[in-house]
Amino acid sequence: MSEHYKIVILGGGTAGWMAAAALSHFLKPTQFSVCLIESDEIGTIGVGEATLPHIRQFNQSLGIDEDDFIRATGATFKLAIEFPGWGNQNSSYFHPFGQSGEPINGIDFHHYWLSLNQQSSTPFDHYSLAVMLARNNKFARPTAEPNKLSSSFAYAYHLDATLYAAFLSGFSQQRGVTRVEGKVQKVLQHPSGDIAGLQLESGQQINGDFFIDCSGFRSLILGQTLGVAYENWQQWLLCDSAIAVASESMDDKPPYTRAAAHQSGWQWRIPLQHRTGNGIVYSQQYMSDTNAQDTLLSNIEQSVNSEPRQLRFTPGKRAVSWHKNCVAIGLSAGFLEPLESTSLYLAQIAIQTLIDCFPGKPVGHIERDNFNRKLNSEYLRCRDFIILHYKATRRNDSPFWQYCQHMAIPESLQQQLEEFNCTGNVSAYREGLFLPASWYAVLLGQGQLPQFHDSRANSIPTDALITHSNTLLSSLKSVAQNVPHHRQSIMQHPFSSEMKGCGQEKVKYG
Amino acid sequence: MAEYTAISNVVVIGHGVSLSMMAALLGHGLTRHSKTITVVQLPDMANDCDVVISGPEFAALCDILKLPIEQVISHCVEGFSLGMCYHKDQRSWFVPFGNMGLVEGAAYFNQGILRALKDELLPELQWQHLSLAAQAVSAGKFAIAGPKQTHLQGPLQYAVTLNRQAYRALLQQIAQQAGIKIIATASITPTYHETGAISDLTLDNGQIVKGDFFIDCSVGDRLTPKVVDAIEANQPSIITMSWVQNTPVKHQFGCQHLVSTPWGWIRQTQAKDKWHFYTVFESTQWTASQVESWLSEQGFSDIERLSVATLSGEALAQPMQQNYLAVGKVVMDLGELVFSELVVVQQAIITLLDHFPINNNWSIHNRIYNRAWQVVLSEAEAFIDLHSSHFMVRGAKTTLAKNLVARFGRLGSLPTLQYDIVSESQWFSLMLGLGISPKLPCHYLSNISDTELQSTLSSLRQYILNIVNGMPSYVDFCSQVIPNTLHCPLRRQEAGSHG
Repeated sequence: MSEHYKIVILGGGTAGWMAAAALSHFLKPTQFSVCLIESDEIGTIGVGEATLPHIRQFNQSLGIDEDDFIRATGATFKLAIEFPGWGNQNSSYFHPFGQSGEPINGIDFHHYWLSLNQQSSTPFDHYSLAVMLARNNKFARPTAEPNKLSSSFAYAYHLDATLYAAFLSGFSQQRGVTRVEGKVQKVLQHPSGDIAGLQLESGQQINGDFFIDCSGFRSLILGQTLGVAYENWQQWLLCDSAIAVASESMDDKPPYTRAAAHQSGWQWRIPLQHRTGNGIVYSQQYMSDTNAQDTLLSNIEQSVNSEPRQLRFTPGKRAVSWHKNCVAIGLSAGFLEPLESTSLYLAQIAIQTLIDCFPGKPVGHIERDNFNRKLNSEYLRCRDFIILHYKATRRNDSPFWQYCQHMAIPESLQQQLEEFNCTGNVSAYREGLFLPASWYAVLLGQGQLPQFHDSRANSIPTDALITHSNTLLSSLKSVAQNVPHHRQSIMQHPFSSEMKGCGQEKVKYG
Repeated sequence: MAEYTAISNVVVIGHGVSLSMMAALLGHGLTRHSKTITVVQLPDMANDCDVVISGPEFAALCDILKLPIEQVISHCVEGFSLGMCYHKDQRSWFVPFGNMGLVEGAAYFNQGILRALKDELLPELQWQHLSLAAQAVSAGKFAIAGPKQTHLQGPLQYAVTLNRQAYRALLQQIAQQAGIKIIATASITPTYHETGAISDLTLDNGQIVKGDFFIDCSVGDRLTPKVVDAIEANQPSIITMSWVQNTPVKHQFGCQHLVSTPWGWIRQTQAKDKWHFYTVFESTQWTASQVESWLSEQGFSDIERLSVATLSGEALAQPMQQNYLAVGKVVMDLGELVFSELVVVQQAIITLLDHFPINNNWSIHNRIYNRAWQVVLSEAEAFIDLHSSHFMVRGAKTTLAKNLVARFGRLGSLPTLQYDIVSESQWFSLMLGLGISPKLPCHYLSNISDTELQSTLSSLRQYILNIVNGMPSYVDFCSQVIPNTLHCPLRRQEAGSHG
């Protein structure tokens, strides 16, 4: 590429700085320049303080030291999500990073668990090492020994998204990213409709060859300027509001996120080193803002230390994430409630796919089509999995849950549920979240037992199977006993108070 | 809610090695789980070739069936291949079954090769230099990675040419050891329920075989009662033709060869003392006699025609209907230019075992199997598409092939595919061989300097050459593992073109 290629990122939230960090790391500075525009007046929404294990790969690919990252972002480790009250009001289960049990003779463990269902009262998730560690507030990194229990799980982080953005801002600027402070007054277009530049209120004009819209819900370029339509998924995902508030840090920080179901929504708890993120996600149609805030505050164990902040959203996504010479990443591309911590993952996958399909000059339809196909698939996978939590409920204690239980669902999810009910399996796919183990964790955790399971699992006599299951539980306990407490693992990477001031005070989402 | 019942009786009909393969794999996978499997064996096809070619999944299959691979090789194997060597317009290139380089799944390794080629970082570098399989074949060498050489198992994936009768007998033996009953009959007459499901089969001696689920491995598709949906109708008929030649062919051993012709490709496979040929062509463009005349003009002699058959040109998109599954027909539909009968039947069995109908909720099971099969089919057809005469003249015909070619030609990468019927290295090498090279660079490698890349690839190339130097010759390897090889003309043919 002979001509210099100028990339302009609009928005300095987590998605914007993740994009800047990755592009500045992977694109040759002799050929590319990256400029990020952010306004100190516009708050960011630090969505996604709970993450998925994929974020580790993102950080590693940028050469970021894990210890530095944990110290800078006040991160704690995450092994699972706890879901109290989802199957029914009194039930609870964990969705771990890793599977429960191990296949026997090539048949997935859950079929054996189902065949034992009448004879065993041990919940399915108890056969997961990640869950056993989470329940006992323990944490160690998985080992790299294949076929060992100690390697049977993965981990992610709870992090302060604002601090993560600040950390990546420093990383990016050291690698040549230009940060411009200012508010966009006008988006300038070529006659072709391509974006030519952004005019700031200061009068400064930033031109570019390619634009990345990380402007959040406003979707200033892709949505407002290029007019890419928004697909509304609210018929399946009723919640359209959230209230977030921080509380004091927990003494004994659990290595898992909690997502507790309420009468008309759910409440998160994300333990960081220096504070605890809390919030309630609810549907305005079924719960008033006042009621939501009261519910949230009455269910926080620690002292609240910030003002509750309210957020409105529409679940869904843009019809395409990439149009003309602009790609939207993060909230400007779509929004899914943070029930399964997918927000940062979706930003990450968009950034990685963009680098995979990085456009030529001019932008070609092949890279654009490939990017849009991949991102569409990723969003739909996440959407279906989140809807699953609402649909696979046995709660009928409120109009909200009654609606969820009986609502029509997307065809793709309907087929998965029919397949599960008929065979005890779900279809696996190579592209996109989530693996079958995640589906089984949620379905079985919420008490959705299939009509049939693989009858080959019945070939092991019940007594032998009970013995095998008990041996597995003992082995898990034995491994867990030697794992240090989560608190000890965090203490090796204490949050650096000097870093506190790095993140500008912005609206936090948790 | 409808009440469904578990499937316990499975009936498989058909003939030949497809039937035996299905019986052996189902026997291994199902009989110890209280399923009764009855195999109804129909008369063999008269024109079956006496060898059958596996794909690179052969070793994994032996592992699944707990077969001692040495024994299978000594009893059934007549030749080995590490990939396909293509010959077109005075040019040859190699498409290995195994991965490029030495690390399976190494991220962006292939893109590193593309950059080195584009920027000419190494003098006279060809991508084949970084394939252990290609270098082994080029040097006339062959080896199977041992159990402790796990790092070589990926790059040295191999297929085998099997003696049809011997392999079939071995598979039948496995099936019978698993408790499967095999009944021979000259004909079958299915009886259908009002729903369209099959209730039983009447054999030529009047015996009635009942079952819950029926699998048809016959080429003739004996069970489907009606015309089924096809993916592509109204295509010109495809003629397949196969023959053997006893005269040695001056080709390298250790791989299959695809030789370009005016109508497409001829596949040439060595098995002991013979070379087996197979080709496909469109009936609107060529006739069998024209093809034979062309072969004669090209100096092919001493050939013995084995078969000429017509494919429908339609691929069966819904092979499972009600309680029956057509395996033989889907095998036949794809032809055997790049996927052998064994590869396709194995893929159908893998798909079946992944989605085995455990009860009679047929609408769900049909949908699950057929949806999975359609994806397998689309990936297989895309690969076949790149070998068609249509592609040579007008480009790819199937949507997936069009997308893959367009993406590779622009970005040098491929999207994630759902199945492994074609490996990434096969796609990569075929695309490059066909002259498709990417326009845009891979930015994930921008942090690696030219010098680093040069040094890494150069060391790797030397390391591969060292490994190849330590391998036995193909002929010596065969002499050691296949009985009677020394008496066959392999030695005489040893002077293959090791270019």
